[in-house]
Amino acid sequence: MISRRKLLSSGAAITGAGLLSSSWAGSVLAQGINNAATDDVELLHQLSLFLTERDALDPSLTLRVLARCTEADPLFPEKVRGLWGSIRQHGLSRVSMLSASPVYQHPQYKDTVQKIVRAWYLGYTGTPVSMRAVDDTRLVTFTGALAYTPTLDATVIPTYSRGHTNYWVDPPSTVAND
Amino acid sequence: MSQVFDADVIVVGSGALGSNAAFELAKQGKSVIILEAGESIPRWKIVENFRNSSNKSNYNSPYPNEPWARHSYDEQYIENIGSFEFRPGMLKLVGGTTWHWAAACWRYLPNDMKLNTLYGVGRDWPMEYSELEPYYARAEVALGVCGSDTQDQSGHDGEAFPPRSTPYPMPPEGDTYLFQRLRARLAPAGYVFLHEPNGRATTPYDDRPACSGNNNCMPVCPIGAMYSGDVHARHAQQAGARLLTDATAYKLEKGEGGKIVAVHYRSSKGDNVRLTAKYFVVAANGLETPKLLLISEVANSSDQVGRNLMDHTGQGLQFLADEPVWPGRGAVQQGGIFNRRDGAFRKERASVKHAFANNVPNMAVANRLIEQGIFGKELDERIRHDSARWVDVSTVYETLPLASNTIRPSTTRTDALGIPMMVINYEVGDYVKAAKPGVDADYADFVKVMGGTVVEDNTGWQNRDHLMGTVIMGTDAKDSVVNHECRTFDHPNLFLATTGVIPASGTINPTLTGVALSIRVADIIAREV
Repeated sequence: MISRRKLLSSGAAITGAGLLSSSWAGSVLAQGINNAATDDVELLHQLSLFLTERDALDPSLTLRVLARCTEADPLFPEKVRGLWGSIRQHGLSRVSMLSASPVYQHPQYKDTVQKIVRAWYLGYTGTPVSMRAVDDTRLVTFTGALAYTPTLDATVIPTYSRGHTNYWVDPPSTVAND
Repeated sequence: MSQVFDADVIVVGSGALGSNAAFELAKQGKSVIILEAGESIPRWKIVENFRNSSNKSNYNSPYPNEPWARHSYDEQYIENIGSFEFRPGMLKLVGGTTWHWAAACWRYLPNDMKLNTLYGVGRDWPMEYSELEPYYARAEVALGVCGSDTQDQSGHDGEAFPPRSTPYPMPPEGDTYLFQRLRARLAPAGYVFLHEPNGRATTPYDDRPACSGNNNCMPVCPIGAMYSGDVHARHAQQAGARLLTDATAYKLEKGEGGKIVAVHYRSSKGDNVRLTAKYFVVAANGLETPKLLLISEVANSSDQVGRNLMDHTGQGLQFLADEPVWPGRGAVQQGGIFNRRDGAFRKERASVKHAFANNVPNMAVANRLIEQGIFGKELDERIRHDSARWVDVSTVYETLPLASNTIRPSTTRTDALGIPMMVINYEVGDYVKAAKPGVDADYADFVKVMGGTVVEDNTGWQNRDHLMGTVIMGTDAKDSVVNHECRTFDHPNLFLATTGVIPASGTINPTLTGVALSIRVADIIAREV
C-alpha cells in the first residue's frame, strides 16, 4: 500500500514535469489533490495490485491510469469503487478466480477490469484505430508497459538495443526451458 | 538572348527517389532545387514522438500531419469509393516515406519485366532487365544494401539469380533464430527460403552505424542503420542542391513546344511562388505524382494518368508454433518463402511472396490474452510463452494494372492550401483472387508443419503500401504516360521519378527499382542540360 505522502509527492512530481495535461489532472493539482481524488487513486492502486498480482506498481502510473480513464469516462472512479466492492463482496482473494466469477460476468465490471489491465500492460488507454490520424488512445507509459516485463531478458523494448549486430543468431539462453 | 532559369532542374519531392535524382544531378554540377511539402525533422524527435505515441501500431503517428501537408492516414486525405479501402501509409517530410519502410531492396527478375510476352497477362516493361542492371548496382550502393550473392532469388533453388554485375555492398546479416527454425522445419516440406536483401547496414556505411537489432525499422530506425531518404536529401544539399521545405507544388506550367516551363508552389505562410527550370522531375510518390499531373492538366494525352493503380495486395496469418522460435530479436523482417515468385502459373494467377515478421510481439500477444480474461501471474507466464512462439506471416500478391483502379483529385476536399485531396477507386482483381486458394493452402501447411495454433488466418485483403502503375511506363504514347526513360511522352523535359511508372508489379517491394530508375533519370537529364 502506498502512503498518502508518497502519492502526493508522486502526483506533484508528475504534474510538475508537465506530463499530465488532462482537465482532471489539472483539477487535482489545483485542489492539492483533494481527499476524494486521493481516495480514488489509492483504491485504483489497490485494485491494480490485485489485478496484476504484483506487490508493487509505480504510483505515478496509477495516477496516470486514473487520469486517462477518467478523462474518457467521468464515471470511471465510481466504476472502480463498484468493481472493488464486488470483488470484496464475492471474496475473491486471487485474480486467478476473477474471470470465472460472477463479478466478471457483470458487463460493467468486466469492461472496467479490461480497461485497467490493458492500461497497465499495453501502456495506453482507449482503442487504437488503424490507418487513421485520430483515435481515442492516450499514452500511460511506454517502457513501463507490463507486457514487456516477462521477456525483458530475451527481447528488447522496441527502439532500445541490448546487443550488437548479429546477436540474434543465437536464441535466448533460456530457450530450452521456454 | 539566353533565357535565365531559377535552376537547371527542379525536383518535386525529397523522398528516396527524388533525393537520389537530385544528388546525382548536383554531383554532376547541375543547379538543382528540391521542393518538399513537409519539413525537415531530426531523427531523435521522430523517435521521441514514437515513444510518446499512444498508438504505436500506427506507423504514421510519429510523423507530422500538418493541415498543409497531410500524411495519408489523415481522415480527409483519401476518399475511397471502391470496395477496398486503399490507404497506404505515406508521409510528407524531408526524406519521405522511407522513414518507415522495412528497407527490402529486391531486384525484379527478367521475367517480371516480360510478363505479357511470357504469360499473356498484364504489360511488359519497355526495357530489358539488362538495361536496368547497372542502375540497380548504383542504387544498391546508394542505399547501402546488404544481401547474399549466391542465392537464386527467383525461388527455384538454382544458381545465383538474377544476374549481377557487382556484389552487394555489404554481406547479409546473420539469420535470426526465428528464421533458422522456420526454415529448418518448412524447407523439408518444399518451401524455398530466401534472405531478403535490405537497406540496413551490417557494417558502418555512409555515416550509418551497423544494425543493433533495435527492432523498430517501422516506424523509425532509432539509430539510422536503416536507409531512409533523408540521407540523400542531405547528400544532395551537400553537393549543392537547394532544398525548399513547406513548398507544396500545385501546378506544372506548360509552355511552347510541349515543354514544361515552370512549377508553382505554395507555402503555409501564404507564399505563391513560380520557379522556372530547364527540366522537371516529379518525385512525389505514386499518388501525389498523378494528382499533380491531373490538376496541372499535363502529360495525360493517353488518359492513363491516375489509372492502373496497383499495390501488392496483402493477406496475413498469425499462429503460435509448438516450440519457442523467439521473434523480436534483430530487424523486423529478414526474408521469406518464394516458391510462387515466378512460373507458368502466372498465366492464370498472381505470383506470391510470404514474408515472416520479426517484430517484438508482446503487445499483440498481451492484448489477445487479456481479451481472453487471463490476468495476474498467469498472464505474465502466457505472455512469455506465446511471445516466444508467435509467428506472423505477411503475404503479398502480384497485381495487374487495371484502368478502372484510379486515383483522382477530389472535387470536394482540399487541404489548407486549397489544393485538392484525392479520391481512389480500387477493386482487388480476379488475377489476385485466383491465387488465394494456393495461399490458403500454404497457410494451412505452415500451421500443420509448425504444430501451430491459429490466431488469425482470415485477415481479408490488406494494404502493402507499394504504389505502382499510376503514371505507367510503356512503349506507346497512346497507352502510357512515360517511356522507358521515365520521360513523359507529352513533355520532353518532364520526367517522373516514382514507382508509379512501374507497369508490372511482380511481388517485390519496388523502392530499389524506383531509386535505380531515378538515378537513370538523373543521368539522362545531365546529358541533356
